[in-house]
Amino acid sequence: MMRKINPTVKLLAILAAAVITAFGFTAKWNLVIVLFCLVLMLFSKVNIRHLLVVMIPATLAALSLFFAIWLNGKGAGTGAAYSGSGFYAQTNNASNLSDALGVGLRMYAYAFLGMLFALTTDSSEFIYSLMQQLKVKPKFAYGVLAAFHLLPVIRREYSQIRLAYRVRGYRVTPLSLRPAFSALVNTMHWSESLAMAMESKGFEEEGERTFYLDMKVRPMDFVFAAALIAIAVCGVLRV
Amino acid sequence: MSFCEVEGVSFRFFEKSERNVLNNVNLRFERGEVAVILGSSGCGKSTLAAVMCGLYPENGGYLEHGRVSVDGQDLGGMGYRKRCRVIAQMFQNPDLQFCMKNLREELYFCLENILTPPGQMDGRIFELSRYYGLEDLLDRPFSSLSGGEKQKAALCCLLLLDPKILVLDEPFANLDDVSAEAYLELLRKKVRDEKTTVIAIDHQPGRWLDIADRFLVLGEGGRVVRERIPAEQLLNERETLRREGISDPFAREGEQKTGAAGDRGEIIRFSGAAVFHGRPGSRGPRRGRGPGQPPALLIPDLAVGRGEMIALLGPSGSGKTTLFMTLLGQKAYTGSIRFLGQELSGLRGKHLFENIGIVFQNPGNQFVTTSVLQEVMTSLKIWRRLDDDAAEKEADLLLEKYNLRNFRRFSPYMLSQGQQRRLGVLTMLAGGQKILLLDEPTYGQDGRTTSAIMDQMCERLGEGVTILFSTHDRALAAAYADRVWLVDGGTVTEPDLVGRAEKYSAGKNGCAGSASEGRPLP
Repeated sequence: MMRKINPTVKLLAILAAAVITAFGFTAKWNLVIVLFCLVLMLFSKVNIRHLLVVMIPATLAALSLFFAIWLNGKGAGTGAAYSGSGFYAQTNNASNLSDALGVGLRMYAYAFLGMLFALTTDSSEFIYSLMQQLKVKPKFAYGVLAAFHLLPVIRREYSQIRLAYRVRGYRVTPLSLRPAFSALVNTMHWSESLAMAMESKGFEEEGERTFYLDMKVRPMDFVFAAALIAIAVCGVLRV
Repeated sequence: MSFCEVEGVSFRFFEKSERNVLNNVNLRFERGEVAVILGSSGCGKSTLAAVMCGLYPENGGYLEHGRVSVDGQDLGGMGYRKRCRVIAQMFQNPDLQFCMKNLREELYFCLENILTPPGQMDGRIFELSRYYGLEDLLDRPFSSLSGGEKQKAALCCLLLLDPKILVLDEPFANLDDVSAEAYLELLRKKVRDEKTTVIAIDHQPGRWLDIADRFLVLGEGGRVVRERIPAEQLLNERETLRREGISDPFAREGEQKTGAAGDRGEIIRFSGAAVFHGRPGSRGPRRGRGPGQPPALLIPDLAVGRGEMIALLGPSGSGKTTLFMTLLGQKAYTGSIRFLGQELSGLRGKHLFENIGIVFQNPGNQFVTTSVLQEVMTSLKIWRRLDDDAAEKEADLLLEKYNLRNFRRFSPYMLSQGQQRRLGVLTMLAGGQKILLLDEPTYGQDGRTTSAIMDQMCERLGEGVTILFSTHDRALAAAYADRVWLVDGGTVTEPDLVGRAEKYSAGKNGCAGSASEGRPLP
C-alpha cells in the first residue's frame, strides 16, 4: 500500500515528520509513530529480514540512549520541570523512566521513518518522481541512479584491491585508506565509460524526454502526508 | 559517395600533445556490410569508434580536423538523440553500460531518450524480446547476469534503437565460447533480416569469419594497412596480420610449449577438497549442523608439480576465480589442500603471500606507488628486506630483464595493458614467490602482446616458478600449458590426455578453437 504513495510526497512527508519529531519528546507519541510506520510496512509486504537487520543498530543506539538518560539523568525520580523544548534542555533534565523511554523511542521513530521510505520505494519510480514532481534534471537523476546500481561492482572491486594489497605484502586494516584511494581512481574511469554508454543510447543531458511512468500526485498521497505530520505535531504539543 | 565516410580525421587527447592518436584517417563503409576492423592494442581502433559515434571530442580530446558523414548527413554537432538513430556503439566492459536495474527498465530508458510515446513502449519491447527470444533476460537484475548475458543485453538496447550503423568495440573481450555464440546469433539475425551495417572492432578475427564481409587492418595512428580483405582471403594475409600483431585465426599448431615440464615434486596437493562461499572461519561449513549450503567448488585428487604450467579452462562463472581465491586463503574449505607440505588453512597472511602471488585481470588494481621503479623497490623492500640503495640496484636489474627499464620513472598507470601485466608479474615475483596465479592474463590483448606475455611466463617456468592461469582461449591453453584443468559444473577435473589431444586437434582444424562452428576453411 505504501508502494503506491508518490515517492516525492512520501519523502517530503517523512522528512517533515522527522524534523518535527526532533522537538517532540513524549514516549507515547514516538511509540505511535513507530507503530504507524510498522503497520504501514506490514501492509506493504516489506522484506521482514531487511527490517530486522536495520533494527539491530537502531536497537543498540536506542538502548544506549535509554540507559544513559535513565541512569545518569539529573534529579533522579522527581520528574523535574522542563526548562525548554530543545534537545539539550530536554535530555539534560530528563530524569525518570518515561523520559528515557521517550528519547529511546525517538531513536526508533527515526529508524522506522527511514525504513518506511527505503523499504517501500522503488529506486526507478523515485527517480521518475524526482524528475516529474521536483523538476530535477535528468542528467542528475540518472547519474545518481547509475551510481547506485554500480555499487555492487564498486564493492567487488574494492575487496579485490584490498586482497591485491595484502598479496603485495601490505597490512590492510578496515581503516586503510590506500585501497580506498585506488578504488576511487577506478570509479573515475568508470564514470566516464558509463556516461559514454548512456550518450551512445541517445541520452541528452538537457534535452526533453518522454517518461514511461507518469508519476501522479493523488489524494491518497496527501492523506498519508497529513496523517504522518499530524502524529508528529501531536508529539510536540503533547496532547 | 559511400554510405558512411570518415574523412581526414585527426584526433589527439590533449591539444598540446605532439602525437595524434588518429592521424588523417580515411575510411568508407557501404550500406549493409559487416566490416571488422583489426589492429594491435593501442592503434586507435577504439578511439576511432568513439569519434565516429561523436563521443569524442564531446567527452574529451581534441579533433584537429576531419568529418564523419552517414548517408550524406554530417554527424558533426548532431545531438545524441538524433545521432543514436544513425550510429550507436556498444562497449567492451559489460559492467559499465547500464544505468537502470534490469534490461526492461534500460530499454524504457532508451525509448525515453528518443521520445517514444509511453503508450508504445511496452509494445516495442514485447516485439523485440519475442523476435530475439529475450523474455527470460528482461526482468533479471543486471547484478545477477553473467558477463555474456550483459553483453547480450547491451546489444539489445542498440537493436531497439535500431541505428543505421552498429559499432561494436571488442564485444567478446571477456566471453567464453558459448556466450559469444549466443551473442553472435543475435547479431546474425539482425544483419540477415534488416541489412544493418555493422562495424566491429576486434583483434581476434576468428569469431567473425562466417559473418564478416571484409576485414580492415589498421596500424599505428589509425593508418589503413589493408582496406579490404574478404573473409576468404584472410588466410593469404596471415603475414600482414602477424606483422600488425593480430592473432592468427588459423593456426597455433606451429607453436610448442617452451617451458620445461615439471618433475621436481609436488607443490600443491588437493585431496577431496570442497570449497564453500564465504571466508575461512566465517560462514564456512558448520560442523554438526546438517549439510548447510552446498559447496561452490569440488576439487578431487589433483596435484600441481613444481615448475609446471597449468591452464584452467571453463565457462565464465564456473569457479576459476574461486579456485584462485581458495589458494590465496580467502575461502573456507573441507577436505585437504596441502601447500608446500603444510595444510593451507594453517597458513595465513604474510607466510602465504611469501610463496604465492596473483596478477588480476586488471593489473591496475594492484599498483601501490606512483612509479614503475618504486613498485619493484617496494616489493623488494617488503619481501627481501633490502635497504633503499640495494633495492634500487636490484630493481633496475629486474626491470632490464622484463624490458621495462625505459619506463622506470613512468607512472604504472601510463603503461600499456601488456606492460602493466608484465610489471604485475614482476612485482609479484620480486620477493622470490614460487607460485604465480594469473587471472585471464591475455584478456583484451592482441596477438603480439599475448605471445609476449606467454613467453615471459615460460621464462619464469625455467626459473622454477609454478604457474596457474585461467583463460577462455582453448588454443592458448593447448599451446602453452603442461596440463589443462577443466572447471565446470562446480568441479575441477583433469581431462585425460588422449581425449584432450583429440579435442584440441579438432579445435585447431576449426578456427583455432576460438570460432565455434566457423565456416570450413578454404
